[in-house]
Amino acid sequence: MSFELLRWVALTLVLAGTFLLVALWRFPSAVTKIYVRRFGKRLGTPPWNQLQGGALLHPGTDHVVRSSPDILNMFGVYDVSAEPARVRCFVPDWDAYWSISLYAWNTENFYVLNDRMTKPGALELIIVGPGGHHQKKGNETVVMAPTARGVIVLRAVVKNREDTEEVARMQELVQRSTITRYSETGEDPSNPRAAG
Amino acid sequence: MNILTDTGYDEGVSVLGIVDSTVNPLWAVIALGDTPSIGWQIVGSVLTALLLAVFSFRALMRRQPPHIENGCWHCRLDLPFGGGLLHLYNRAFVAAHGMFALRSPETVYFSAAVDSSGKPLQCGSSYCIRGRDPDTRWWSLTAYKNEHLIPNVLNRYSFSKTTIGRGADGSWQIYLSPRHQSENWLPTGEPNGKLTLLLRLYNPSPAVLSDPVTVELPQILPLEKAS
Repeated sequence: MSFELLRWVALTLVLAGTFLLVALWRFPSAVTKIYVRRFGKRLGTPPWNQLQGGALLHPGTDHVVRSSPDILNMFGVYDVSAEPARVRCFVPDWDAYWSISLYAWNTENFYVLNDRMTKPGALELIIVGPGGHHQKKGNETVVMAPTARGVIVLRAVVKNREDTEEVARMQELVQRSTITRYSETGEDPSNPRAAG
Repeated sequence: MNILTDTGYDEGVSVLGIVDSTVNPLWAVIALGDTPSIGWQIVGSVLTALLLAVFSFRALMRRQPPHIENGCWHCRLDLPFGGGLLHLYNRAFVAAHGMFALRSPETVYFSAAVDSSGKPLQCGSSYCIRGRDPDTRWWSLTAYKNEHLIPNVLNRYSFSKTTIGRGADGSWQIYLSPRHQSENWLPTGEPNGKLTLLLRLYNPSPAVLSDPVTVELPQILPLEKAS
């Protein structure tokens, strides 16, 4: 085998390895981009700092592969490039799994809080961007995000999806969740009527 | 010789001496023919590398990354697989097959694509899933066709710790079938498509997290063998 051919094979293998690594590294971000774009299309507005969902999934509405049919999901996108974002949500006061998870743009799950880790009732989460700073006020929980944009998933288990009363109760709770830019005036989360 | 001709590649000396120097440069490279110009070598190398990378990526996304096996169930805890290249791979795999999954202390996912004898699950076949409540706060078992929920007349896609009908000893059986079953029927719809099961354990016990290999999980038996 000639030196030129060996050199060519070595170059090709190095390049192939590099391309593969780049693909593995960038693929999750590309998938996030697709989900966020679809989310924006469904909303009909830019997707940033929006939260939507809270319905039980059916065939055809389960856009994410292997979605759970027993969970009410609120899907959202945060953008903290200009200022922190404020998430207001409500933890159930009955025994049912509930959690809020934050994902970086590359799909890394950098934060999760479940119902057993906090008290029932209103919860205020402040997401701060990379290099940002926020002075905690009151009952705020401050989370540092590794990327300026990312995804929020709020999950609440419905133990029996045929129990319409249970579904409605949990749905009412999760659909009161909101995300806004920090500077936007929000209502008092301790007031159960405030968030609608 | 390194004389660049109007064909775009060198009039070099063939390695084997049998390949005509006017053949396609890419083919010349692959077939050990004439030594092409450095430009064509790079173009050929980049294109070949891209093809290799695409096929490797597809192959990697189709095979399971390192996982734990418990009978016919597979589980990928996010704790023991460290960082570096494996982490990149795991993250890409999760993005392809279980986007926005929860971490293991929140939920452990056991998936099955084969029955307890190792045969691939098929939507047209019937199975009996036999087990007991796993050691966890709450669990649910969902059937998917091609990674999505299966349309069916009952609008039933899962059974859970709350909805399962149990025997006197606490054990239960789920009947996974396209045909009506008298109890705990989880319909699989039309016969075509790749059938998979996902068992979710919410807030699993420390025992499940520390040793998922020995957790007692349900058996998946072809219905004719289950009776």
